[in-house]
Amino acid sequence: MTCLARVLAFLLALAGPAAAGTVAAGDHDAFWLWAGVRPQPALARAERVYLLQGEVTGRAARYEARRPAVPRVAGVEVWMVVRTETLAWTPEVYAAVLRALSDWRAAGNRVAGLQIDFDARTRGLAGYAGFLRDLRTRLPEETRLGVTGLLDWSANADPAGLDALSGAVDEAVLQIYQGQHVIPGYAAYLRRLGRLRVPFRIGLLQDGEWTPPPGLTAEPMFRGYVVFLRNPVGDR
Amino acid sequence: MRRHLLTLLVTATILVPVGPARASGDSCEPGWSLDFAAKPGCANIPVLVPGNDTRANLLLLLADRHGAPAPTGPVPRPTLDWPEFRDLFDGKPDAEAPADYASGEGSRCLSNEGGEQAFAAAVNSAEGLGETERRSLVEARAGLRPSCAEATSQAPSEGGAPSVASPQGQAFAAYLRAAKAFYAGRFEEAAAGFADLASNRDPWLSETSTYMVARTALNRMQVGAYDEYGTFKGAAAVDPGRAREAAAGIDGYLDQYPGGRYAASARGLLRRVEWLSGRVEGLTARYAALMAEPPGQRGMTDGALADEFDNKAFPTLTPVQTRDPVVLAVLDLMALRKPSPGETQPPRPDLAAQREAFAAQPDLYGYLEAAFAFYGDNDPRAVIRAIPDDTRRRGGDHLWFSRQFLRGLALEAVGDRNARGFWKELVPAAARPLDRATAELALATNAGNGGAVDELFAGGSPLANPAIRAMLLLHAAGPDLLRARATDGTASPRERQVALYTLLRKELSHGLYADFLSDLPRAPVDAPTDGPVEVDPLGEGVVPLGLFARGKTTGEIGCPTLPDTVASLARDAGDARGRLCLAEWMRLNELDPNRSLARPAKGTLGGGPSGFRERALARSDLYAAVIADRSAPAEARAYALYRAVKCYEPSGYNVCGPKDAPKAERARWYDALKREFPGSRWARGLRYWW
Repeated sequence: MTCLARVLAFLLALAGPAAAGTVAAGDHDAFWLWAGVRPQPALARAERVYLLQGEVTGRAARYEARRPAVPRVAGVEVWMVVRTETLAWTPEVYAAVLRALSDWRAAGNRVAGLQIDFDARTRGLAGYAGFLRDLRTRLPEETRLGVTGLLDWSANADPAGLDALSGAVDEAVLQIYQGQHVIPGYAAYLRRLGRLRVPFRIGLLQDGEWTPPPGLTAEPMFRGYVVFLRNPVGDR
Repeated sequence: MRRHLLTLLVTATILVPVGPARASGDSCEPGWSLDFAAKPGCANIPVLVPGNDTRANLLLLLADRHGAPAPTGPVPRPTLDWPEFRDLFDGKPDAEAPADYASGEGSRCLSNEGGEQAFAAAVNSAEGLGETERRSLVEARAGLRPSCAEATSQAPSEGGAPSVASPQGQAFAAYLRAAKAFYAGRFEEAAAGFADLASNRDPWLSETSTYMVARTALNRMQVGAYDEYGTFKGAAAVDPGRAREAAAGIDGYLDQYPGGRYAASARGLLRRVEWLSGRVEGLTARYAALMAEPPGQRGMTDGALADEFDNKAFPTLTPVQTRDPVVLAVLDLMALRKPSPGETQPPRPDLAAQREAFAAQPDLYGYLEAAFAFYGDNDPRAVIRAIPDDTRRRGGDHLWFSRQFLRGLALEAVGDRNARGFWKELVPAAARPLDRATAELALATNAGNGGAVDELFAGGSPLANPAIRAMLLLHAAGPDLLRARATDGTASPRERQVALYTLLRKELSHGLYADFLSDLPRAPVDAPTDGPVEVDPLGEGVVPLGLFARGKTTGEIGCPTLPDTVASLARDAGDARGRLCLAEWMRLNELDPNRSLARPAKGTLGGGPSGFRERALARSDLYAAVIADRSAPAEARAYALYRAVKCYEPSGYNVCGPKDAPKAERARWYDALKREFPGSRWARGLRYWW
């Protein structure tokens, strides 16, 4: 287990009931739509959507498309999400990602950027920053670069790694959940967000718990929320 | 697939049978358990078990079917996640592999880049073309930069039309017009154009046009099949007439050109037609046909086939929809999974009704019968009767290994005293590296958890996997074994370091201060002080053995070196300052034995009895001892109270030990510090408790 997974595992083990609000999709305007999650009415009010396009799996870095067709989302800021298990991308992976970006644009989408979803495991942040800096040079100029991150980054990561990351990306969406569980004690992590020098959003889980910690909205780098949509309970 | 959160959320979606999409933020690593009855986490073993990823079971059966060479790559540990497992069997992915028409987004531009080169080659070798015509055609093709995702047809752009005069030149020009219409989404125009060229005398032109007629039909069939997010709306959104037309076109191409240059791609397109039409049986039959071919012939590795099959056909497949023994076996094993809490057991497949399908593979059928008895009926004795000991065989396939492994599990389940002996025989019989590591895991779990860890490290022991050995040293070994490993010149340097590091840390946390002082000189004087303080059994990194003699100790109360502190504890284990300084060393070097050091779960490797009898003392225990010691100096008690409270900052969870004190007790510490030592810097420096 990684250090991070251990921390999360023990936090989960201790999860006590917490008085908290529940995340209602209707209260938000930015969403992740993962593969296999059916579009919901809340999307009609979306200002921005993060759509999973593909995954890069294994050490051999295979690109696997997860969205069966090119989206055509009118009027909404679209982020293309690529989940990756490795930073050793092959030329074929870069080509597939860049082709998808250009296809999405050609289809009339307002593509704001590319979001990389990588489990950086706190310790690997420095190598991650290098990967992102290089990736950025390959992207078309108008394409922003974003990352997902676990809240632990702001709590334990070494400052040099976080600084390197700040220079490499335009935004980070920090998740307060691991799998389908909200990370207990997230409030304590959030208190340390002052260390982040990159614009960030908080990723929430639809129907998960959320109580904003005091002072969050006053954080200069805080930009809002992104809600991870889930299929209705009866379907799970 | 069937792994995780999102998978769970997703499996039930009928609309889009997607692949193993893990949730953003999910992470898991293969563990050390031999319990492969439950829903898979992310661990796979080279044994046909219910808890493997369905793709892993499929891969094992395909490897047996082709007599594939054993994977030879290095095996970091006995259990692998799916991508690791797949890559081990497949080797590096083939850069020349055809584009993934069936599982990709189905963009009609997938073929554009390669198409440009192929067109140039065809034009340059075609008969009946002049030089100028060739150049003009190649230039015109290069100018065809399709924006493949445009929703609607553009007005035909006549700019860049090649200048051609000869009949063949005009034919190639007509091909380009049809291609342009295709890429622009004007499918009727494209279909008519390609159809006109399907019997042209140029072999490239006729074959490619025949193929493109079919691809055009497939693309026409997909119009309106996806919503604005690119999500497939379902088979109901597909016109059956168009689907038939597309399938007929592709079949027509394959009949005419069975080994043609687009044959692999055409078969992928056929699978896409079946998938879009929601015809799971037809789709499964096509996959079954592919599974029967060796990877080289089908142009697709077993791993890629397993991924695609699992993604496209498997999610809604039931046993009555196929007669393929391999597919049935994968389905049957999945049905044996122990449900998660709150879930109901899926209906058990009627194995007897499948017997005929296994006529050519009676051993596989017999294995499934045994697996049903073991996992379904909890009848390990039936397994022992049905599967004899066959560990003397050499060169057995994965089914042989699965049978023997299941016998071993059954011996364990009935508490057979020969189970350990059986594993000892199976280890040398398992020639493939991953099989061997898995057999070693079974042996190590049996002996290590059965209080016989010492014999696993004795001379002649078959236990070789470094990660398994490290797990046992970290969690099961007692002081004598650790000391022996630390000083054994035949052990690897890393194993010696792991053993000594574990020995010294546990001597400290178990109060064996004199032993610590006598063992400490075994660490090199220049041993490193940086490096992960929790030893990663899979790692090869530095073991920070220098922390003991040269770690940080000054801290807030000016402690001496750790050896000096331990020397005073060796004289008087109740010495308050000694206790606090030991705690300071733990705190400053981030060595808190918190929950991350929890013993592995019972039944998993290392989860048996530990060679150290008493519970380890954590930092919070040291503070509690000083707080309880009324004879301790005031300064020491004040600092112990201060530190005990700070253990809970800021999260309210104890970071200094495995258990949380009740809130009332934490409040008492805070009050005692403020009341009894109001003038101390520790009382003045603390304004909250958590």
